[in-house]
Amino acid sequence: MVELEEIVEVHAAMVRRIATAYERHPDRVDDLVQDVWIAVWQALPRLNHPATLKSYIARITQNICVTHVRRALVRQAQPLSDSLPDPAPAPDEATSHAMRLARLIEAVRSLPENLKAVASLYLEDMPVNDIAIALGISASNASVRLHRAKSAIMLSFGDPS
Amino acid sequence: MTSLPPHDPLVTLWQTAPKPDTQHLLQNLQRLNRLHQRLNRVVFAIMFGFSLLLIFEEATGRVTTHGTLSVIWILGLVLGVAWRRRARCNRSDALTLDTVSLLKFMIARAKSDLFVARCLYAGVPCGAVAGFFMVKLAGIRVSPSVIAVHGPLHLIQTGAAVATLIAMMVTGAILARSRRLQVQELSEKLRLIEADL
Repeated sequence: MVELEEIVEVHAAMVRRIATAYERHPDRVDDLVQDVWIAVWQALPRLNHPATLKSYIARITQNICVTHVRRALVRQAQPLSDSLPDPAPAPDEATSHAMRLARLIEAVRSLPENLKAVASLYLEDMPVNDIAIALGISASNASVRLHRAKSAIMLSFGDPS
Repeated sequence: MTSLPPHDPLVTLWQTAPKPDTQHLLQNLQRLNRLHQRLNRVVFAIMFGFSLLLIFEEATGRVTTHGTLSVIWILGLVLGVAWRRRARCNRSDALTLDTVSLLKFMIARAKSDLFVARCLYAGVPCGAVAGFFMVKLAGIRVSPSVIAVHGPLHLIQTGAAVATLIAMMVTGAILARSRRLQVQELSEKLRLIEADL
């Protein structure tokens, strides 16, 4: 049995990135991430195939994030200017990179929910089959959604192709 | 079927997001894990110790119930463990839980742990008194000859029983305190989330 500490170390970045795609407020992202890990900790003893751990954690993260967003839809929160950098002209390469990352995160955030789920898992380097399994949809459906999501993201980067 | 491009620049860019600090998160998870394991161990030790004491009492003839109490106790224990395992297997999977449901589930579990702890520190003395009167009413008592023959043993048994009762009450009080804090903490978090929604 793999220790939870090891699992957190390996997959913390993935969970955080997916949560960031759903919630822009840094404090709420922290809460969301903690909720995900508590759920993973509780679900871990029932995981029969450690090979599918990444998909398993991604699925739990997706479920908790999606429900979080659904509940938050009724929330009358002000749009927050989060920790993303201001998209001003880049003085150097690091800032330029941070800007592109910020734009990507913003593009993923602004996707419709069904595309966002596919996109966030795709960006975690998961194969389409695994994405389909994680979301409980067919592989062809996942492919179609992925194509649409990528088109929307590229469009926000100013590349309509 | 779409296969993953080996080096999609979007994937590469996405994964350059700064790695989060997992120290605080791990500490919280470890704390919860430790609390849960400690409670399980303590409850197991108390139940096991009490079973031994009961068997010992009946085996030495101090309580003249000829093993009936031990059998009822152990049967109840087995049924309780089976029920708890069944409840754990039947509970909704974490995959289907959202943040609010998860918090509610955790609060329910902390409350049930709090109930167990309260049973230890409040139920044990009440149970002991009730048991004392029931034994008196039922006319179950130690024969004077046994006390005369096993005088020192009688004292040791009484001392052990009282020590067990005190240990159970102290443990219960400590556990109840930690669980009460946990229930408060989780309820506050739930309240904040629900106020946000």
